[in-house]
Amino acid sequence: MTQASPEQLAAWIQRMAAQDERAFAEFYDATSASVFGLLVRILKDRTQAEEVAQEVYLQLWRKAGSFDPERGSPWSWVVVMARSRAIDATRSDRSYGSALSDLEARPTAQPLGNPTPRPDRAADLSEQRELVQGAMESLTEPQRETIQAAFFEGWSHREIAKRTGVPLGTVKGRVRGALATLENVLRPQLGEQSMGGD
Amino acid sequence: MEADRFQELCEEFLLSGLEGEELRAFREELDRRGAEGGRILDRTMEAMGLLALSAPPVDPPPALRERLMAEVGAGTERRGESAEGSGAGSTPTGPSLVEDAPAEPASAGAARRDPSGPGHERPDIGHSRLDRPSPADAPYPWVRSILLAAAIVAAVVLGAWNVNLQSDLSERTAALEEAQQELEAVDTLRQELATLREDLGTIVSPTGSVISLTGTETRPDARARVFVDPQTGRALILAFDLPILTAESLYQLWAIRDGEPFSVGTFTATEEGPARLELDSLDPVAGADLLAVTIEPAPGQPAPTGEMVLISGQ
Repeated sequence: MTQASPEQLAAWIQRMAAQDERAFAEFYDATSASVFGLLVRILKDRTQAEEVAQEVYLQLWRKAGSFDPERGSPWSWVVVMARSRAIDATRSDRSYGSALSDLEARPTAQPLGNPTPRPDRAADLSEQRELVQGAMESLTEPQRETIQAAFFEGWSHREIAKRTGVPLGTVKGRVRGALATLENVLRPQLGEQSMGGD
Repeated sequence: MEADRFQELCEEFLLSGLEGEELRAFREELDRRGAEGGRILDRTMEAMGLLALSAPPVDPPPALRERLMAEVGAGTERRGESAEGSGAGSTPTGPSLVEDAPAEPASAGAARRDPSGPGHERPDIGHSRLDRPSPADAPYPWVRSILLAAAIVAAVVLGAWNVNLQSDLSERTAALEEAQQELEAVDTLRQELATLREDLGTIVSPTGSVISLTGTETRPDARARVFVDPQTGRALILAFDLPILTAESLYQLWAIRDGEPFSVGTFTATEEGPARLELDSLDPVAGADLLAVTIEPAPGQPAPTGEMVLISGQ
């Protein structure tokens, strides 16, 4: 279970950028169960999840210097990297990860995130997990199923519409509704900045 | 591009990736919106980070940690050795962990120095196939000239043929892309038609009911209808003559029960028709004493803070 606060994760990543192996070990110990859980959920295969986890952590080690706290939280950075590797492992054309490489390729003159420093956040990731699970319960069943198909299966809105026979507009509305509900439910508990908002 | 559409593209970009025309439109809009567009993308990315926490944690096998630490340690060691062993200004041979390029192969020692510059190496390919007699040694110099001329002509012909083929390929690729875009447009239209049919089903449902909302004093022309269909458990909100807001704001529908407001959902107004909000469940509006719409900062608020523009039961 992840116990580290976002600030602690960011500090480890900063030390990893300076080739600090101990920081890497601590970062791994704090995040590996969550990352591996995510990969097992997406890939549904522990052996493949292990291979992808190895790639992800080596990529995190290599790219630690490119982490920019102004652009988002360390956890969302890790998730985007892990999820894109896992989704690509399920696709033959590996198009998803290469499309997301735009995120890193963007010049810093055009910031992705709020340029102001983020305030301290009390909730560590294990506390956030409990809040998220509660927030997921507040979604309607169709919203929950749709957002899970999009997030964990990597299905596009069109694919979901085709596979479920639900109109595309409805699928988009469910994804939007689910994300908005998660934000609305979590914002008061996690603080304004934790969602990356203004 | 409408704020709603941009938000939709952000979500799809991060969730499943975009392709073709949509990807190009998204990149252009992201550039056009600058920092504000970045903030919207960033916020969506944070929501995705939280979504990942809904997957139960699973402890990875201890061997994974051992392998990673060994690789990280070996990488740092190789990097150190390389830095110590190399002179000023030289490029270290990168360990696989730090550099994507593979480590120098063992056979590189047999490489031959390239006279074109220091530090450049090329594999030793031997002399046998590349050695040529000098012109003075050739028995029939005119034969060589003819062969050379023939080779040049052949190269020019092949080059021209290649250009033609490339041009033909480009045209076919463009036609294929155009056809794919048309197919996608048809697919989108089909989906929109299905949505309209579904909306129509809710509006004309024999078991359904309608709640009317009217504009407040500040928005007397605005109005909305909430179509509730208990048979399908679906509700549809259509709002008319609401002003189009900036990207930082949106409309939020509230259900008020015993004087306490509960958020039902958010929507935006567009030039393309009535503002629309669809509910897959009637729970958010069931038992409401009143329904009201306020203007709130995006992406919505846990409790109303902004101007009320529509209210039911007036």
